[in-house]
Amino acid sequence: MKILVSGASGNVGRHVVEALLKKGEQVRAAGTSLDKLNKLFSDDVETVILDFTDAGTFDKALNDVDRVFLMRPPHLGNAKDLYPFIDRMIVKGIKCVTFLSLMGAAKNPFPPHHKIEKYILKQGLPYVFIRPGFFMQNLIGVHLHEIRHDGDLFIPAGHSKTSFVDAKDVGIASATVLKQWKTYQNTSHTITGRESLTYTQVAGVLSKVLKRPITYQNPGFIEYRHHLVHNRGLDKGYVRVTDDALSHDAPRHRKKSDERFY
Amino acid sequence: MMLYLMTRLGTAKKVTNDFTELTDKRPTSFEAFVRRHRETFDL
Repeated sequence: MKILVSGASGNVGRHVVEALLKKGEQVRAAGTSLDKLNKLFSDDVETVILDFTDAGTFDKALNDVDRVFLMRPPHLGNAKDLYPFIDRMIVKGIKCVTFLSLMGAAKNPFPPHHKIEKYILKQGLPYVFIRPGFFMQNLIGVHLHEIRHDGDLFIPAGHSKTSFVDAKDVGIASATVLKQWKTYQNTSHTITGRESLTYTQVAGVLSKVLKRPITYQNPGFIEYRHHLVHNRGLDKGYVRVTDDALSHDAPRHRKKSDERFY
Repeated sequence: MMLYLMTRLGTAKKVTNDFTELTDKRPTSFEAFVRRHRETFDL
């Protein structure tokens, strides 16, 4: 039987695929663009279209599959958008869904991950919840612009600490539980980096490795919002974000600088 | 902004051992990540 990996061209998904192949599993990589998937993976990876809002795509993706890596696409902000696919997984007898959730999702009702976890539990689908911390990849996503152009980390995080995690590690952890699904059935795992850093410390590491000064001036929220809306021309609603800011995946082939949080 | 408001409240700082328990490896350090993406940071 195969393992279906949704969001397979994303930052976590492609590492799930790679790690599963290394473990000798048969993988079906799913996304909304076959072109993107076929460019990313070699011929030993089967690819398929999966659109959570189009039930007509579900069975082709799920046939001959017994385990699923489930990732909510960032553009689907409503938890309910995933319910039909979750229901279909139950009908198809999926033995383990590994859901890419979020650190703290069990207690924080605002991100859609909270409701998706609860729905999976309620429906009785065997699960593993992978709950990552804040992705290192955000620094080469939405925040890359200021690092490149201004030598500055323009992030309104104050003096707080973040346990930055590499999306690749989250992919490896997900592949591990999918491979050993019997051992990890119905468990949750919070995946973080090895240490918690302030943004001043982050700027220090960047300065050292890039061999040029990168500053962190601890911007306030008003300054941050003004800069992103007026200087970068980003959407006001986006800047206010809750959902997108907490989401994980992003297109693999980014333009110069991706505006999305992972 | 909501995300960083939460971060300021300390919701992003927890460090767990879960990755090591699953994989027997240490999580990637931030420095190793920056080295891997070294060229991405340049204009």
